[in-house]
Parts: sequence; C-alpha cells; structure tokens
Amino acid sequence: MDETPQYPWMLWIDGVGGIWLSFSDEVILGSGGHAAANYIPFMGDLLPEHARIRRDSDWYVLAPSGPVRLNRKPVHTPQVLAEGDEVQLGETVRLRFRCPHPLSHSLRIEPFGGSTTWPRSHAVVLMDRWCMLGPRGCAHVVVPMWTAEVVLLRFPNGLRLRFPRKFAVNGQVWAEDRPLNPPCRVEGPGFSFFAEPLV
Amino acid sequence: MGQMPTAPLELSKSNPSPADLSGHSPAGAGTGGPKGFHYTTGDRPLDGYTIKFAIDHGGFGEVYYAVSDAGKEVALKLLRRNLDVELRGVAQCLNLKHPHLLSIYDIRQDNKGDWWIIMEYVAGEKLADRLAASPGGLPVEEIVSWFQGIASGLAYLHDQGIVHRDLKPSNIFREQGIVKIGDYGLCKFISAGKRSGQTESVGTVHYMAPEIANGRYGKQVDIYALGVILYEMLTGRVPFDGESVGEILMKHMVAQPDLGPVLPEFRPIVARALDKDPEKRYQSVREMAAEVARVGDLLTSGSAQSHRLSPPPVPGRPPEEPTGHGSLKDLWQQLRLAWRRANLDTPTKFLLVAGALIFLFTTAYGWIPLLIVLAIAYGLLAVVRGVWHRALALFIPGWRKGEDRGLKPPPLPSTHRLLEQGPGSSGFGTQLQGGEGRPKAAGRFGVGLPPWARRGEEPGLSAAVSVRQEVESLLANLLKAVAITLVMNLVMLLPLGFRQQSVLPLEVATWLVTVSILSAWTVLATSTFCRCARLDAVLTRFLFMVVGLALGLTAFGLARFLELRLPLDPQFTELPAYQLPPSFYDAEGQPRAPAFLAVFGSLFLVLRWWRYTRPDRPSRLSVLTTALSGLVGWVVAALWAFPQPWPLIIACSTAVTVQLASPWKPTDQPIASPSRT
Repeated sequence: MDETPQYPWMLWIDGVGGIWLSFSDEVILGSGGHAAANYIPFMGDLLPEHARIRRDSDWYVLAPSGPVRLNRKPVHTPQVLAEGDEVQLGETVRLRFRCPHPLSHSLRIEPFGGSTTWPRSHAVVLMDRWCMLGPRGCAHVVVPMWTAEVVLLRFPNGLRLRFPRKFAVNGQVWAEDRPLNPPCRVEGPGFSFFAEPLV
Repeated sequence: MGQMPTAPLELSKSNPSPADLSGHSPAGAGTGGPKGFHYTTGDRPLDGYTIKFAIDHGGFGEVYYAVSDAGKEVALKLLRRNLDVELRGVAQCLNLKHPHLLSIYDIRQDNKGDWWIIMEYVAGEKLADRLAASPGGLPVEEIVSWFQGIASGLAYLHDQGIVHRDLKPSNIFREQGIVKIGDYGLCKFISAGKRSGQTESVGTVHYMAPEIANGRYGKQVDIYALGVILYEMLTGRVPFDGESVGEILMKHMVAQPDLGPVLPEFRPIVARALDKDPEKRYQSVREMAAEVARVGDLLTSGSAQSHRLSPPPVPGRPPEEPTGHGSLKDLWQQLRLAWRRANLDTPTKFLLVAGALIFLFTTAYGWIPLLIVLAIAYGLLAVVRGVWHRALALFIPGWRKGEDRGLKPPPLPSTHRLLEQGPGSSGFGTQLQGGEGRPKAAGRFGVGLPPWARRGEEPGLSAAVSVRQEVESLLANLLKAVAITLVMNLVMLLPLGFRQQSVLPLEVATWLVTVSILSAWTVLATSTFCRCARLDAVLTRFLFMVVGLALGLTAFGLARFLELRLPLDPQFTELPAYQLPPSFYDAEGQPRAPAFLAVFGSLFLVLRWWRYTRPDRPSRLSVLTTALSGLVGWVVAALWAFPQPWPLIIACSTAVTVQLASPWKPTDQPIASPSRT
C-alpha cells in the first residue's frame, strides 16, 4: 500500500529558504485556498483553480483553467511542459519549470519576478520517485552551503532519506536510510534541514 | 530495497552526536547547520517570532527568516559584536521611512541577554549576487536602475544626517524592481572580504574612502563607495584590489583607478566620485545620480551610437554636458570613423578629397554666406544655453554647483521608465542554477511597496527635472538640426540646379536654408514644449498651426530683407483654377505676407510634426513619412499658388532633419506585463 504523505512538506534549509515538497501526481495552482496535498496557493490575482499540472508518465502537462501564458504565448489547451519553460498565471504569477536531473522526473517550479506561494516558499518540487538535495547544479534543490548530497525516495511505506553515511533525525543517529516523519530535523556531515508538514 | 535499521544507533564514541555529524559545535540554542548558525527552524528566541531558516551571517551577526505568530515575515538579526555602537546606530534609524531603505521594525533583547534587530524581509536578490552572475559588468539600463534606487535611499539618509559608512553590494537588495539599502546604522567595521562582510575596523575595505584613515566620516565617504559600486557594476570588478587589507587601503590612498574598462561616458563620473580629495567629489548624492541618469539616458537612447564614439574624457574633469559643441564633435567622430571604414582604396579616397575640395572652392560664393548664417545660429544657441543654465542655477538649489544649501534639494531624475521594465529574476532562480561554489543566500529582507513608491522618486518634483533634461536634449538637437538641414538642402538643390541649368541665386539659397533651419527648430522646440506640458493632440495641432503662422511671417520678413524674388519652377507650377485674393500676391505673382502665412500655417496644421520627434517612433528615419511631408508641402503650395518647389523642399528637409536630430529608442513590446503595476 502506498503511504504517500497526505499533505505537502516544507523543507527549511539554511542559506536557501523554504522548499515546498508536493507528492501528488496532479496539483492545482490557484489562489485563495489553503495548502493541501494537491493544491498550491500563490499570492496573486488568480482563480481558485487557475491551472493544473499533471504528471503523465514521463511528462508534465499544464492544463489552464484561467489566463495562462506559456513562454509568453497565451495557451488555452493542455500543454506538455519542457525544461526551462516559463509560465505566467494571470498577470502576476510567473513560474519557471526545471527538470535538473536526467534520471529523475521530479519537477522543480521556481517562482520568479516577485511571485511566491503562500505560505512563502522559494521553490516547489513535484516529487516523482525520488529527488536530490545537494550542492551540485543537477540537484532538485541546490544548496551551495552543503558539502554532501542526500536523496529523498518514495517507498510504499513512506518517504525515506538515503545518505551513504551516518546522519541524525531529531537527534537520533541512523545509518544510510531512514523513514522521515515530519516535523523532524535531519543533520549529517555537510548537510542539515528541517522538514515540517504543511497542514 | 536494502536492510534498514528500525532503531537508532546508540550514541557512543564511535557513534558521533548530531552536532559532530553536522561538522561544528553548537554555540547557542540550536544545533545549526554546516555554516554554524546558532538557531534552527522552530526556535523562538524572541517571544512571538518563530525562526524558519538562517539567511546568512557575517561579521555583525546572524540573520534569520522568521514568521510572527500572526504570519508576518521578518528578518531577525542577532547582534554578536560591538553592541553599544550598533545599537546606538540602529536606534537612530528606527523611525526612518523610505521606499529604498530596508525598514527596521524594532530592537529586542532575548532571555539570554542577546540583542536582536527585527527588520523587513526582502525575498529578492542582492547586488552582490547579481554582480557575481555577471563578471563582465551589468547592462547600462540595469546599472542606472540599481544606481538610482541606491542613490535615492542614500540621499534620504544624508538628509536625515546619517552616513551609511558601509555601502557595498552585499548590503543592497532588489525585490520586484525596488532597490533597497540595508545595514545602515550597523556599519562600524571593516571587511577584508569583498562581499562577505567580515569585520575588522570601520567600513568595508574595498569600498572605503581614503579619508577614513584620518578619521573623517562625512557623507563623502558614501559618495566614494557609490563610485566604487558604479565602477564595479560597469566593469565587474572593484577599482582597487590586493592580497591584503593594507595593500588595498594603500591603493585607496595613493593609486589612481584604472578607468580603461569603464565606458567612456561614465569615466568622468567615476573619476570624480573616486577623487582622493573629498572636496573634489560630488557634493551630494543627487548630483551624482543626475549625472548617471543623464549618461544612462544618452547611452540607452538613439544617440547612443554617436556617444559611444566620443573620445575618452580626461579623468577628473567634470562631465561634459550635451552641448552643441559636443554634438558636433560626435558628428565629426562619426564621419571620421565612417571614412576610415569605407571600403575605398587610397587613390579613390585621394580623388574624392580632391573632388570635394574643387567643389568647395568653385561653390564658395554659395556656402560661405551659409557658413556665416551657421555661425550666427551657433552664437544664438550658445546665448540661449547660457541664459538657461543661469536660470537653472538661480531657481534650482545645487544645480551644477551641487551645493546643499539647506533647502529641499533637487530630486533625482525620474527613473520610472527603467523601474517599470519589470522585476529581475529571483535570487533563488539564480541560486538554483549556481553551482559555482560561491555561497549565495536566497532569502532576503523585505516586502512589497505601495504603487507610488515604485515610481522611484518624489512625483511632484520629478516633472521639473524631466523638463530640464528635455531642454538640455533640445539644445543639443537644435545644433544637430542645423548641420542636417544644410546637408539636406544641398542634396535637394543639386538635382534642381542641374535640371534648370542655372545656379541658384545666393539670396534664394540663403532664404531657403535659413527658413529650413527655422522650420526644423520650430518643430523640435514645439514638440518638446508639448511633451513637457502634456498637451493633448488637439491643442498640440493648434499650437503647431500658430507657430507655423509665426514661421510664415518670419519667412516673409526674411524674403523682404533679402529683396528676394522666389523663382518659379515651371514643372511644378500648376496654379489653381480659382482666383486667390489680390492681397496674396503682387503684380508679378510674388507671394505677400498672407500667402506665406497661409502656406506655412497649413503645412504645420496638416502634418503631425510632433510625432516625428517621438523617441518611440517606429523607425529613426521613415522614408514614407518624409515622402508624405513632401507631398503635403507640394499640395499646400499648389493650393495657395505659392512658387514651387520651395515649400516641398522645406517640408522634406524639415521632416528628415527632425527625425535624424531627435533621439530614437525602439520599443520592445512586452507580451505581458510582468507585474501588478
């Protein structure tokens, strides 16, 4: 049985900010609602359900419900997103889409030009099977301060953190692999972050 | 799936503690991350605020992003050093309010006795990060945008009697296009690292004015730092660098900055701001900002090409204003460059020069009087310019002399055009793609601003400065117009002379060129006036008709003065069937004053001349517009039975001249407006 978290997480990372981690295969982008497993509210003049992003096998499909521009061109029908695409929702919310790792279908959404989610996050990661956090550019969350990389994986029994050495979760030391149950603080040689549920 | 432990490992000597794992020892309440912050997510060092993540830390202390219990985002700064000095400085700034200054909300003490500053949170990027991403320097428009924001905030600080003393790119932020200065009131140390903020003494060494060594901390210190920042934005590097603090300080005191990499137009500004003698620097931030805005406008307007060709000014000299003399020099430089680049071999060039000299000698009787007219025109222009500058000096405090006289200083030039070009990319976007090893903090301090603040400057006074800039630009354009008109008339008269197999009478040539110049001047000046006065289309058209009538009267007076008889070109002569009143023409068919008034009044009423001078016109020189102008000139002359082809020539010449003399800036139409404003 898939025990995917029923709510999004926020990863707080020193020197980077808040990373919104979403586990749903389809998310609604809009404004006015509250953060939920499949709902990402933005600060902006948007419809409550302004657009949807659906993971469809290896692709992400953007389905607009309100005014949406993809790479500055208005779109009214579902569009397949590509690396580096820029999407504008309404007149104010601007997002950039990244698939930084060639072996992962996790998608990073970067609000820019003053756009932000509410509560504020500095990026949103739509997590597929796994995502990587670390100092290199191919990570889904680039943390220049870190000296090590960690991987978050989805398993039937929940989300796990994988790291080749010992690390601590809420002060208890573990080795290599450990399920995460937020809120929790995770620390290891060269990395640390705090995960909390967005409920 | 591999084996996974179901219970935590026992903590022992072989099993390190979480603090050991993270690579540092905790010094405060939290365990911290790799960089050694004292607090972590969830900590509440101050009642009512929960820390979410650490933004950065430097010599003054650590900065955290926190959220109040009600959800207000703030930046919390933990002060670790030199508390007395810092607290005194911050307390002085607690109630400052300015859109380009980062707001300080409060100063609080926690249960441990540590002091915290509660500040505005800015989510945008730092100038330091922007510079790191552009090692070769920033585009001119962006430089001006950053600079005007910094200058506006800094001028306000100076107005309040506060000197920043540690102005540097890592203290300057931008969110949604709004530039904000931070860390004012906290700047009591010196940094050995260019952007790190590590501290040793007063100020940051790369941006530190030489007189600080003598214990002088006037506002000139900030103007020097502004000069360093401007240099860095232009070139991507600081003017003085070295292996040690001592070496850099020594360079600040004795070495002259290398202005070679700086754009020639900016060299006088940078040189003056970086003068070793504080008295020789700009005496106010506003004065320097006005210069930067002026040069920025020149470089980003249609005249950018010609200005890029101007020779580098002598460092230390005050910047040259856009006078007619400068325009002539630019024109000369352009011609020289075009000649040098022309795909002609030496014998051909020699033949061309010889031919031109022969032509000039044989036609001296024609152009020498024109030269005299030009000299008179230049003299008039110089007089007008002198009067204008004296009037400015009288009515605007600090104009040119840059003296603060205790009165309300002149505002900065309006920069809303630049500010409205849309916000830059977020710091996070840059950061995620960074990976160059330079740590960059993503979160910054600050929230949005009221819409009026996005305009940048005081709205009530910016219009006056805008008018001043318009007039400055106009004076330069008037002289350009003289040269262009001269060329245009020569070009148009040559085929006419060949066709008629006769030399144009001198008085006719003089009249034609003078009226053409006056016509172009009339269009340029009236367009500028209408733009400044924000007249609508109907009023503008009416005003153009009035000035057209005045021009007609002048043309008539000049014709009388020269005892001129305008020759008729038979190919153009198509008299209307109707009979015009006898007051229009004398017995020989020469036009009288009413005919001049009718022709020039109609010509200026029918065509929308003001559109020829708009910077956002579709092309710099439109052939269609010029042809249309000529056609209207011909029709008007035909309708009023005026001798042909003189109105046609004047209309064409005016159309070409005003288009070429007016600045042109092509517009890039954004597909969507990037922000709410």
